[in-house]
Amino acid sequence: NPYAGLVSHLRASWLSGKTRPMEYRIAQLEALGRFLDEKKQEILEATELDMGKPSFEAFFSEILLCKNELNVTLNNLCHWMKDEYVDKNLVMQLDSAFIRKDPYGVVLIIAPWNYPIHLFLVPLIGAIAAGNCAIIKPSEISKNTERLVAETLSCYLDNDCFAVVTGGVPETTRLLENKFDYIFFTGTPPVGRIVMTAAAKHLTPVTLELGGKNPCYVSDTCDVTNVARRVVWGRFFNAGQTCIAPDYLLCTVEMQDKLMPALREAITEFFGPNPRESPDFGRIVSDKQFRRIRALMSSGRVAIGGQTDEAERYIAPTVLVDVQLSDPIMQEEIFGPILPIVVIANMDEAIDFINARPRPLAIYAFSCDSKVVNQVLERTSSGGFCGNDTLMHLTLTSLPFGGIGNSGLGKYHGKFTFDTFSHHRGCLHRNMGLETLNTPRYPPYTQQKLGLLTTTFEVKRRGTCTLL
Amino acid sequence: TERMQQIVGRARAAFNSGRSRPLEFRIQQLKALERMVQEKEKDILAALKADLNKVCVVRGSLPVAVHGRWVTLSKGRPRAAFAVTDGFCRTTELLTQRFDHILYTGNSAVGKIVMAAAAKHLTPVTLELGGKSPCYIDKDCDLAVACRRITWGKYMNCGQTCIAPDYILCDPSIQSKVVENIKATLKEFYGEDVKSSPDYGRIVNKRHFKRILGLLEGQKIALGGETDEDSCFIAPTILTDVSPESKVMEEEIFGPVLPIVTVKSVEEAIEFINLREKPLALYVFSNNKQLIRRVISETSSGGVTANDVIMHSVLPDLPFGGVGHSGMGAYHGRFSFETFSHRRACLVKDLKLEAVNKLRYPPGSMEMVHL
Repeated sequence: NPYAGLVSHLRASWLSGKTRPMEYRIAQLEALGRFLDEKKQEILEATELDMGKPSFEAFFSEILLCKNELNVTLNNLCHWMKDEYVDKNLVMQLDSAFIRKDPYGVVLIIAPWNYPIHLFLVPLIGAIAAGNCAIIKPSEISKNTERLVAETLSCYLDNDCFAVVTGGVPETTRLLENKFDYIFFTGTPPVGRIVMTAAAKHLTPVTLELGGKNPCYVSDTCDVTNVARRVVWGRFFNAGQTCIAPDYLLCTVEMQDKLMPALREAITEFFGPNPRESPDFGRIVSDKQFRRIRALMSSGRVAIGGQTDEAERYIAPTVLVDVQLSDPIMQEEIFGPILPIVVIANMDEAIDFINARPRPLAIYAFSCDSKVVNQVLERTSSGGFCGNDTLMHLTLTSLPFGGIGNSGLGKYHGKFTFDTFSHHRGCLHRNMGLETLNTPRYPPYTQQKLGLLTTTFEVKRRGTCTLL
Repeated sequence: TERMQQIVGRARAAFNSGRSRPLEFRIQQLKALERMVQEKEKDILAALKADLNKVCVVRGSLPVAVHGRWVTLSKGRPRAAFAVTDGFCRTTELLTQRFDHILYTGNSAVGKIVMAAAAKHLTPVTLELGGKSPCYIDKDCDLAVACRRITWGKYMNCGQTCIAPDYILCDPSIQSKVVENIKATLKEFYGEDVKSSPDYGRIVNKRHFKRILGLLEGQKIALGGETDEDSCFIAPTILTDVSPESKVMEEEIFGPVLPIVTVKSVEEAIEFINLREKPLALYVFSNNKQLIRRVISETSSGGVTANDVIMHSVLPDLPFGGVGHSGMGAYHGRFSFETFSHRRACLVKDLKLEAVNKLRYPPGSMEMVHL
């Protein structure tokens, strides 16, 4: 077990209690802030090398959003750490009943390549805030960022309590043989299953941030120009390599006809007449992914884009029409800059279509009619939902971010990350006196005692519930 | 398996129809559950008595479902939305079906099997497991009161409670006083002849009876030790000067046997507890508030009660669940509701006000970013 030494070293640090004081956690979090500030340029460069990530995008997702999470945490940590006092019943009035937030111990964070800093750092913020030690396993596919993290993070964080492990599938498999107190995984559903199965051997709780095909329904009543911009922005951000990107469009054939010029217009507005020359459009992360996505383009008919360049791993912003449900592009998460349009007759058909498939990480619905947006929200199930925009629900630290069913389990961001990495421990501190109050519960059992017990313990049903 | 698929399929169809969503439906079902407990109270009590010689049920706390017996109480065909199945062997088959959440209460070994099965379908799980819940008695405490509360929690349901104090940690100087006090309390509770007390339970079956009996081998029995296989009776038993390496200190006892392990200080007690798997409950008795705070802060457990046992589980506003080997997730009160809900983040925007969005669209420049 090649990682046993590392894990037990971290476990010893954990048992020493050094990660528990608030001051320690704040110091580590502030160090993370310095990492983001001082290594900003290196982060932008590494992600550009890895997937041609435009620096505007990299700054937004890898620096700005991370700093937001840091600041929310630093601003509120004192409050989050406090014991939460709860209501008591009649006999416990002199007792102390509270929820204690305990760290789990040594946690493992496994991150993917598409937002390689953000997707390890935001979970790490919560792990540190909650008082844990952590092993970070960045993705080997975004190899420049992996190297940056492996080489520089140790200069900022306490090496007794935080470590970076690099490697691919074999290394991750060996790492998972060890016992962790929590595992936070972001990646694909098949690997999510492997992680959860490995976690089951040690009864380790997990958060799995997975993926799926995020549907985007566009109703007939909507401002086509704005819809096109928001959809184009969400679909082609990071060259489509975003877990909550709108994966495919659902609309009527009339709307498709109206949307097409608007989509074309938006793409040109954003990336110019030749997106390949735009500094604001990314590249595919690897040859393997490039070939996979390129093959998906043989589904249906290319209405916009379609150009590729293997040397650069460039795939143009592409829109496909006449797509069959049995086509390969409708069988897997695209994770690339292709937007297929699936034609449906009406909203009900769109909702049925969505519900017939695995529950996605996000569902999008565009309509000027708020009733339509609410219908889609109410009659479907997904990790998250955004009406009349794409991706944006992720940027609010007050909203829980996570999947359901195949798209994942658990949630994070803001306080939810802190809660994810804390064990909420129910505590009751009783008085040693007033022993007579306890007599009704002791044998010998009598009807009279039962009556007394019921009176003191009973929670009565309130009057009639006011319906929401 | 086909029947299982049918049952699950029917429940899924019922869910997909949206029937279970309105508040009125949920309240109606909960009221029906309440009616069942009230109307079938005699039957439930009879079943529990036959299974465990259990006698006292506090209304408002629904008793644990017991395989087999529970099925006979549900008349006719199970309704589409709710179904009760029976038999242990079928549980492994049932787990091959896809569920949207699994809540399992039982032991850690089976907990691992449940989680592994759930992993195949990426099904979230709540596991309420067990472990050895330690009970530290400080020298500075009202020993009579402490021992009475411990006696109650340990021997109720004949020790078959997941949060029963499993073993005691205390200074060697008070060990014999602890035994004396528990002995006196036992007499108070169950009379001179425990076996004939209507208030003392029995072990659920022969297998567990034999298992618990095995734990007594080679131990110093300070009190009790009498057994009767025919009625699965094991007297309230205390073992003293127990070695940490002995069998009785390896597995969750889940029976009316209370080992005492001596420790010289609270530091030793804390170290002892931390060397072992995280328990479902942790108990500490002391007049010293600082000491109690310290024990809580320097250990980890599902839940804690200080100066009593069991009671943290009766407050619906406290989350009830384990950590590490004692489980994951929590329920009771609103925690049950949250366990079975998906908190879906929703952002609904206006289709107008596009100007604000322009800040984020390409062509991007670093100047715009700093706005």
